[in-house]
Amino acid sequence: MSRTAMNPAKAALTKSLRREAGRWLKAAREAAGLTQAELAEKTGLRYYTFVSQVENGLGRVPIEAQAVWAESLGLDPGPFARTLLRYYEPELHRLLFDGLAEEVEPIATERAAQA
Amino acid sequence: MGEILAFSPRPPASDWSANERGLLMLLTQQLAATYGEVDGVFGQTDSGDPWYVVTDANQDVLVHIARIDGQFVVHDAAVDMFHQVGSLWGALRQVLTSNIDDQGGVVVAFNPSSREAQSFLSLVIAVGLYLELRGVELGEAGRLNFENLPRVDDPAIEGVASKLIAALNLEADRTQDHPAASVAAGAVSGQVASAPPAKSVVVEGVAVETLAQGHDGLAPVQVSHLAQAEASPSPTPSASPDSAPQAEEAREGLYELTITGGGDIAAPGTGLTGAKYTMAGTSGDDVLVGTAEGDTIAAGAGDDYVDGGGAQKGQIDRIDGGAGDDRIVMNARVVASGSAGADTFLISANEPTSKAEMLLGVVLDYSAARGDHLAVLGRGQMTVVSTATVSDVLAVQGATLGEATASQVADVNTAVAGTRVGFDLNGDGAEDVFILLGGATTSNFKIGATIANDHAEVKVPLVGQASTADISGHAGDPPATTH
Repeated sequence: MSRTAMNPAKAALTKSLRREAGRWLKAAREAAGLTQAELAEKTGLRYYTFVSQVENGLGRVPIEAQAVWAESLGLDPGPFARTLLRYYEPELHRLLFDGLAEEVEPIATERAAQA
Repeated sequence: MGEILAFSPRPPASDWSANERGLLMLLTQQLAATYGEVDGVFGQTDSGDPWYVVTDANQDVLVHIARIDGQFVVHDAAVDMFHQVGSLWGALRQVLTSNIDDQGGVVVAFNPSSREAQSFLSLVIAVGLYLELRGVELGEAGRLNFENLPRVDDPAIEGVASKLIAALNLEADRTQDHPAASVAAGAVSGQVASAPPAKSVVVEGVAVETLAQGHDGLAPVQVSHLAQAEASPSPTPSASPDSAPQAEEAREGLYELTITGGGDIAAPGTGLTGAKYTMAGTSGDDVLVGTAEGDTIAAGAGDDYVDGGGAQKGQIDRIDGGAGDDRIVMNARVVASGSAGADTFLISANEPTSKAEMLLGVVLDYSAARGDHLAVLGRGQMTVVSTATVSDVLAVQGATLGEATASQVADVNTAVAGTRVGFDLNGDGAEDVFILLGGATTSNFKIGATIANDHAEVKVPLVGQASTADISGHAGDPPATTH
């Protein structure tokens, strides 16, 4: 069951990016005024400690859960997923979006209709 | 009749005990045998519940174990199975069972009096004694539920037993650091934006005129007769000691405006979109109004009134009130420091029209003990409806605005913890706006408290031009502008 390990440099980069993602997610949650438990409840997590885990840069928010995370944080799912892609899959993000301007800032997205 | 054991209530939320850590490290060793290089990370939630994660060399999470309200939850990512059990033993068994391949061994029925069971229990006792001799608490071990103890017919038993033996040599592992605990630190560092070429602007005895050509940024007034010169090695003249840091920033490429002979109003601006301005007040009671761009304003000593004047997308107004009882106008793009004195942070009670406007700004050094307080700017009032601890106020501001604003606060390179205070504006009890107060605690604000316009009025000259522009204001309004 042992897996092929990535090279140390890439592993270090992955760890660093995961931590950045965690900090970004934590800031987004705090900006939304939610506790970790409240976010877990909104997103339907079975155990809220997963929120703390991800915020500490361990693991990632599953793709299938990113929409509900975005909604729970009051963000648009598209930019939310794009931001996470930048952290989780930087090379894929570069291939898809390099050279393109950032379309929408994830959390600054103005939704006057909801305000 | 057997001995009656005292009932042990569920422990409150607390970090992993030494016993639990030892068992979790055993699990890690077991998983290493299966997956190769693995890492174990201990952590705690903001409520204090502990969790433990094992990751492989690709940083993928293999197992997540947590203790929540005394119950142990296990998520085995390899097979995406979730379990909730009453003991850590049960949790470990769930993981090991799912990760140990069936090797076709002989299944032995459990018999408490059997040699295997006795050997296993002896190992448990040995580990307990070892830990006790080490001076660690045995509370968790004392609450072992025998229904959840590993069974002899459990395919994991062999691995557990061998690892328990290894537990007798846990000395080195028990001092493992907690990587998760230090992750948040330095969230802001390393994000300092590059500065434009050095250039300084010195203004003396400037005449304040109307803005000849307005723009969307609503720059309130325009200064004429700017004496602009390339930065020289000598420090730029400044009006107060507080402006010294700004001179340093000017050498780093910021525009600096030093207002001399002040005391009334100073309003810089050259129409250089995206430029960063620096204003320095005098030792008197100044009224400082920034531009519609991102400004750095150091009000210096005196009871000053400071309004950054707003900032464009991607910019902030960095305001330092300096000594004295200052009044600082707040908005989402303001990062303010009241510094010494009892400062008043003026916040708007207007309904926000966007998500970004829900943020009323960031104060880095709020101190209720020093006399700092909030007051409504203009009409209206607001009610405190929520308080929450925030680990990094600048990170939250950046997240709210969707911009790396923290990188523009060059004088702050560590996370500033504080409190997020939410307010209701329309009386429905729901939060409409919030402010981020570094240094404040949740106890500084009582839910239900009212924030009103209780600050002293400031006389701000209305600046206009001969035209049909209609300038009207009322007490408490921010400085009026026209263009």
